[in-house]
Amino acid sequence: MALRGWVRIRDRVRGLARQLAGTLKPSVSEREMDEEVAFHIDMEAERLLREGVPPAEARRRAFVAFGGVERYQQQVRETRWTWTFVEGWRDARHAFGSLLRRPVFALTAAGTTAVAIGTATTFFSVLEAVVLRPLPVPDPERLVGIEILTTSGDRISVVSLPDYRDYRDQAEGVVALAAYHLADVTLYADDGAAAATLGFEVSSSYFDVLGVRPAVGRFFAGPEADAPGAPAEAVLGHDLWVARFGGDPSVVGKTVRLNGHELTVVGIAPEGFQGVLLGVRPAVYVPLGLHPRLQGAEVEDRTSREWLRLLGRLRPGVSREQAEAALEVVAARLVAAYDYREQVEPRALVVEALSPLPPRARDTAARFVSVLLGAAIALLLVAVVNVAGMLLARSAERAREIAVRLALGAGRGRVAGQLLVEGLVLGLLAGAGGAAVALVGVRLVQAVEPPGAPGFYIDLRVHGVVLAFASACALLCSLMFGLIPAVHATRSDLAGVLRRATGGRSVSRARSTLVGSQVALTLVLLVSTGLLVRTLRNALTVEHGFDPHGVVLAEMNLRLSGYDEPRGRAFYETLLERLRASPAVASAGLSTSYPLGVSWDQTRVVVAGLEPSDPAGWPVGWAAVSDGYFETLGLRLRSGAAPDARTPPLRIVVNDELVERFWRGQAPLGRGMRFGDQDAEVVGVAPSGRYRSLAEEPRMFAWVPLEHSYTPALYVHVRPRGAPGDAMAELRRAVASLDPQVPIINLTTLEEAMGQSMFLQRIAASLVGAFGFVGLLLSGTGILGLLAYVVEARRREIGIRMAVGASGPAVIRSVVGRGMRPVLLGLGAGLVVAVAAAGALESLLYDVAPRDPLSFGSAALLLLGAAALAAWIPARRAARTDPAATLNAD
Amino acid sequence: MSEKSAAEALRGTLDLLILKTLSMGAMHGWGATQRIRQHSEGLLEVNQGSLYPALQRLEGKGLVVSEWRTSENNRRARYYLLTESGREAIAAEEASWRRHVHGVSLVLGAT
Repeated sequence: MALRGWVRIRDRVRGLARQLAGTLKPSVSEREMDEEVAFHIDMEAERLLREGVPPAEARRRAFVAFGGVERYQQQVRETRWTWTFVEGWRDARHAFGSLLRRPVFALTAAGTTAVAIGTATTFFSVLEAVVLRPLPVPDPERLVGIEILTTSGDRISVVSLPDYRDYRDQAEGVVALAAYHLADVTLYADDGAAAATLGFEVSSSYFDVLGVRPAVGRFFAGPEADAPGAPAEAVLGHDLWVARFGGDPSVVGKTVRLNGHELTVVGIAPEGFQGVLLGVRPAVYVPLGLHPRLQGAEVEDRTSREWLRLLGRLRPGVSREQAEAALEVVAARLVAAYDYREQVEPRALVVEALSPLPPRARDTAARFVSVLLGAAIALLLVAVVNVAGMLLARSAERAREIAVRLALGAGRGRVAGQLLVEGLVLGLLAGAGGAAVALVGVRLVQAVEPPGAPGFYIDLRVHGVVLAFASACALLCSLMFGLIPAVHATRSDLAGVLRRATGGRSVSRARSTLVGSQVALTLVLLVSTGLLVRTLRNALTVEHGFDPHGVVLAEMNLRLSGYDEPRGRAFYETLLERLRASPAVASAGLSTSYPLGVSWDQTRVVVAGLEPSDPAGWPVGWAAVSDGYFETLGLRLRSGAAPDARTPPLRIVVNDELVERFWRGQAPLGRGMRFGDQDAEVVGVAPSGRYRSLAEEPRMFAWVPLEHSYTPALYVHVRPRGAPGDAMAELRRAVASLDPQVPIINLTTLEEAMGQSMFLQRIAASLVGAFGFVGLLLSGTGILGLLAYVVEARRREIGIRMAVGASGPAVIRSVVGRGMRPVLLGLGAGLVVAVAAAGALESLLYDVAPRDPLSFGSAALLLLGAAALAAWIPARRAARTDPAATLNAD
Repeated sequence: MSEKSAAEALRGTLDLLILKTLSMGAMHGWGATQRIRQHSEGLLEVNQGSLYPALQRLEGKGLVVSEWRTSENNRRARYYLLTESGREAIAAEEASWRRHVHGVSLVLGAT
């Protein structure tokens, strides 16, 4: 039985293959068909001859008996299963040819659609890279990230090195653990110049747990790499290896200089592997054990220095819950044995699927990209509708041809099929163009560097899912392009068309619907733009409590150059002196952060007699500042003086908000509090500002003297006497004269740096705005096209009306009114959609209600104005109609 | 019976006739029409217009294959041969045809 089944399949496949061959080699199969027919007719004629029919008559009768030779051949062809394709191919060639004959139409239609598809695909590729793509390692679904819920109720993602070792060893049967730390490193080029880069300090298990194999050489071996005294080795990232060493395998075994130390390169990470943090492209990996030497920090202290992130691979058959339980057992042992601070004491562990972005950042990114993707899709729809309108107009022109073909017996399916194929050809052209546009778009997006993340890198690719997305867009366009005219054309009735009633009414109704939907989509884009632009304006005019104008900002980190604390203090001290001595500089100061910047500090404050919101104390943001800082920022104290170095207690400046909460209506100066683990006294009060984001709730803040909390990473603030450029040059000179090996990580102006907190909004506003503008243009041309068509179709009627006395303005009013009807309907629908879209935008807005009447109103007005203008052009032409000429035309 | 299935029934009959004819040995298209005419004693005349499309269809289904051979009068002609599947199909088609005829004659004889 099985054998027989196989035989049947074999015969079937052979049969199909023969017909396919016949289709692919039409010359051979046509010749054979001719031969077969000739043979048949000859045989028939011979038979008739034998029956006594005269030769000429016999041939004639044989021919007649056979029937039409051409019809027979056609029937044979149509019997083949491949016929649909032959027909489709012919339609496609025909469609392609007719597009080539109308190059302007083809370019506009395929071009606008391609740009729109490309734009949408670009944003989709970002979404793919940020949200959808799994890590490029084997079995990424078995990988987990581990975080800690602390006794103080915080969720932290770092542990100390001794804790890591205990978790790793005691939970070994359940989950294989690795630890890593993102470190600023300075890799020195051969010419000695410093290049600040990103590196990962990783445990020896890191690559094993991820399942990554080296491209060249080996990774770090054995437990000694995890302990102080680790061998001085480094693994290079693949991209750095290619960029700086030309991908030369002999680099392995050579030494590189990193943070002032010589390290031997032992291996190269594989291509495409960028570690496990999104946006970070590690240039180099070094063993955890080198941390004390490279960063000058102690690592064996269990309870005061948490710095390692954990990741793990679940052992086969182990669930996340089981791993969580096992790790919590270890945590309980640790808590029993050691004395942790509340803020880091593990109360519970959270084991989650390893994500290259922290969940909240991932949500923000996903929401932001979705807004852009949504806008791009809206634009795509506007563009597609535009092209569909053009095609509809074309199909109306062809209505006669189509009606005649239908009347002559062409199946409706056949005619519709041909129109569908035309749509498909156009859609596929647009899709291919769109993929090309996306390749460029992806480059542009990659060139954008978010603030505070120098070297930020996302590996965007136009592949797999992304290409599938582009294809889906292209297919959707094809369907719209094909279906709208097809449905329309095959419904047309012959008698009507031939009577030259042209079916104009139904075409213009269909086009009105298209125009209405264009208007609706464009309104959504314009409203979103309005909301984002208002947000940016509000951000510019916000009251900061100081004057950022002109202030120069330099980000520095002496740890990268191997400075210890005494040398670091001396460096910054001398730097300030040199700057202040320069004629280009009015004043200069240092701070651990800058307003609206990317890094902040927060501590807990306890005030005697007040019950804090949290047992650990009130959360208060703080920055350590040098003398000259307030002056440089133009921050005027309400009362008191700048923080000063005399101690104890710590003499600090606090903001209005803190005074308001703790000592409303009382004199704040001289009051005491517990500030972290020190006693502090208020010596000055400054106006409240915004510290992390413009959208934040008022926040308590304090400034402490830098002398009591040294850190090697500081921001140098300089208020220039003249042009900021001179002060920047002076700053560069001063740093270089002190130590040419110290890099300035980022040199900019404070305004610029603060403006970057509006980075996402600015990108969104400019992109959505551009989309809105294009949408406006497309809607305008849509209205124009519709009315030009209506005017053409009603030429006779208009002529008659003018002949019986209608005035030009009356005609203009009537035509414009006809055009504004779909616009008003579209506006109505658009307002509803825009309200929903504005809700999705809300997280990006600042000080603007999502239903901001100004944004809605101005968008609607702009659109109405553009629509009226577009309607006026054909209307004026209609008014110039010469009644006599029109009436004579028929 | 709808129009379509009637056409299909007719087509099925033609297919069966052709397959049966070919089961007597490979034959070219013209020969097949002659054989059908002879065996039906002139009652059945197969129209060329349906014969060749039918042969194409059967070839597509893998029931027959064609090859070029030299004919009895020394000319190149396209001969059609049954495949193994074709041979099997005859039995099935024949049975279904007989059932059909039996059914029809039962109905006709009912009154």
